[in-house]
Amino acid sequence: MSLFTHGVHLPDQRGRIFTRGIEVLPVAEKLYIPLPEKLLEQVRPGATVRRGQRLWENEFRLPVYSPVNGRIEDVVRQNHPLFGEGCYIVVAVTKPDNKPITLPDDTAYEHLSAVARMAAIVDETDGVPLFAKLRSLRKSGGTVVADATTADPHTAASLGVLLEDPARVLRGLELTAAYIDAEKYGVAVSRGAVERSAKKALRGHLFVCGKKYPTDPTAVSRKKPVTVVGVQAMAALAAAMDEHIVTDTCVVTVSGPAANRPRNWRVTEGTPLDALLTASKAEEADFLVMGDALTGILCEDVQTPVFSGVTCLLAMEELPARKAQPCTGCGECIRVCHRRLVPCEIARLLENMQYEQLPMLNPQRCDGCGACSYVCPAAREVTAAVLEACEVQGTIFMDVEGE
Amino acid sequence: MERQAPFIRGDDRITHHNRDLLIALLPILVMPTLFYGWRPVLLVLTGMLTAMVCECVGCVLMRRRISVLDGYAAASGALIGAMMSPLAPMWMPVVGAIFAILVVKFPFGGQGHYLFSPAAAAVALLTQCWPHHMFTYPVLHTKLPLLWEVPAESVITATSPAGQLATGTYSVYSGVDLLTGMIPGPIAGTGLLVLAAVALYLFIRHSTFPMVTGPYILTCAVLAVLFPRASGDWYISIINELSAGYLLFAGLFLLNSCITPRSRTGRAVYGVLAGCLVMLLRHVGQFEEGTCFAVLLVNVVAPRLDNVCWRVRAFARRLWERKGVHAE
Repeated sequence: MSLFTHGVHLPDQRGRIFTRGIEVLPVAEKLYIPLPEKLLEQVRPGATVRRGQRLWENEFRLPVYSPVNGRIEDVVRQNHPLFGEGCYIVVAVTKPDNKPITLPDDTAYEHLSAVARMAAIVDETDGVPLFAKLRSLRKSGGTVVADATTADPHTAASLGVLLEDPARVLRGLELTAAYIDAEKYGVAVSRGAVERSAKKALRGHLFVCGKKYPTDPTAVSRKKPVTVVGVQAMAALAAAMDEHIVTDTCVVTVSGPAANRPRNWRVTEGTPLDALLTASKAEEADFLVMGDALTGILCEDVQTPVFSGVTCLLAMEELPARKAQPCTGCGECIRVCHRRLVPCEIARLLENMQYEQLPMLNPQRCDGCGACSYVCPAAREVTAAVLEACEVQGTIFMDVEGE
Repeated sequence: MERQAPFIRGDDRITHHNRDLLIALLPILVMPTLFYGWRPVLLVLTGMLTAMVCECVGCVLMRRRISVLDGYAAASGALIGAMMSPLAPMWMPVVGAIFAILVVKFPFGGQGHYLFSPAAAAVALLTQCWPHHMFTYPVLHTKLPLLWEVPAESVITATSPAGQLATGTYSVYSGVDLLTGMIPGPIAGTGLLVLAAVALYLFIRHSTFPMVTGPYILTCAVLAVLFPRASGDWYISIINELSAGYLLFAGLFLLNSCITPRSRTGRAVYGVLAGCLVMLLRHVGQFEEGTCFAVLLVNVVAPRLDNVCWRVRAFARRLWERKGVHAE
């Protein structure tokens, strides 16, 4: 128990997910493939696609490869909790195929960002295409850190990928570090998360963070700026560069009280959630949360597809139902806030509509980690209030400037 | 039901904080019980039960869910009882608790909205109306009757260290007596050592704020050295002032409520202000112990303190940023 430091200790709910390794989920009967809006009229149901076929480019200029051999069953418009509203084609799988998808022959292997683009790698930590990230960071120096911290109580995907093949992740990091001229590179893990054998494999490139939520991987190195990248993205980058393979899968942790077989699953991108739930024996779950328990979003449609960027799925029987009480000024939210904000006061100003006073409390620094709501003994929705304050404040500024 | 993150909640409840306060009161009650029998405990319990009944009545009158189980009323009532003299009649904590809950707390909107600490306001009322009951203390090891009122002439009374300081002399009790609490005084005016242990417990449990209590005690100590009320060594002045009345108890229990400022600097300033007022009231006040009045006075400035602190900080940041721009 600490008196002065920030962050919060969360109960570890992962159990044996790590030690079981990653299980491969068989390809589902139908998969969702994202479709750019402009092609909506051109794609017709009934057409066939084959595995590895380069279909089109998405709005981020990443090529979209078909992960399966199949027939287009339907074209749908769907709201994804993480990626917003978008169009998808629904492909019914006709012939299973395990052959890896190889990069096109015209890939410029001398440019790392070009390889990252052709391999359609998306950084799972922030959902940004890796090639765009690499280009913006070109020659920025500093440190590259792959984030495998496990402060959140359920997510185990990044650590699972790291423990499965540490050498591949390190290779991806090495390539990235060379590309952006970083002086140091390594993997950030929570204290006690990796065993001795893995430590040996990562020797010299291991940054150990505290066990408190939220961890800050940018604080691990003094060589600034510290660039945080995803472990899965690094593994995919190494595979693309060394083996010329496009990674068409992502690793998702399925956990939560209603999941009877909590696992790290390797799923083909575009797999609907119901296939994952069936494999994890979580069909009985009444509520699904996409993302971790502290920052996740409630997902109501079991047909929502999984893409790179989704790292955790929580199956819950019930949601906490505690009645919010008035703020008691206990100061817990102030104590745990790692951005040094005063969440309870921001919430109070918002309630009293004293918007003009909000800027002096800096609500825009909030990253929505949810620690303040977690600890609030009065069960108040403090995080939501602070995030709302950010938006309100933005609106006011816009109005002022508009005048 | 909550439809937005976080989907897990910590175990911390308001009830836990109040339970911690009540647990912290237990060791404080040990010494008075040894000296005077069960009457001090009964006074505390009377205050507690009355406050709980008043809370129920208040909730019914305001058509709210009855929130007596969150423990706020119990803690307030127990604090009122703990600040009585062991000789105080049983109706005093009752009157205090009724005033605290039905006059100071509920008319302002109940929990989370009141402007003054209910316990401090109640003790201030009792001090103002019945000072002879508040400041008449029996000598140690007097067996007091459990329930009924004690006639003043049947008990040998003693002057507390606070009373002696008010007359311009240091107390006749030794430093060890002051530290261990073997002195006549209010129920909660136990020795410094017990209160230090209680403070440690409350700090570790996050139930009180070191940022308020620390500066408060430090200010009191510094002022005790700078303006001693009797001639003698500086450390004698500190020990005498800190162990007189319920100064430390107020720092731990009364200054930490929903009225306390939220900003760190604000809290420190709040503590310093409270310390200054306590010592000022001791020098110029009418009563031997005026801590409750000092607490009420700082409660008035608490909401403003935060605002001032944040404004100063925002101004300093703007200055800093401007300077940075010029430097570039």
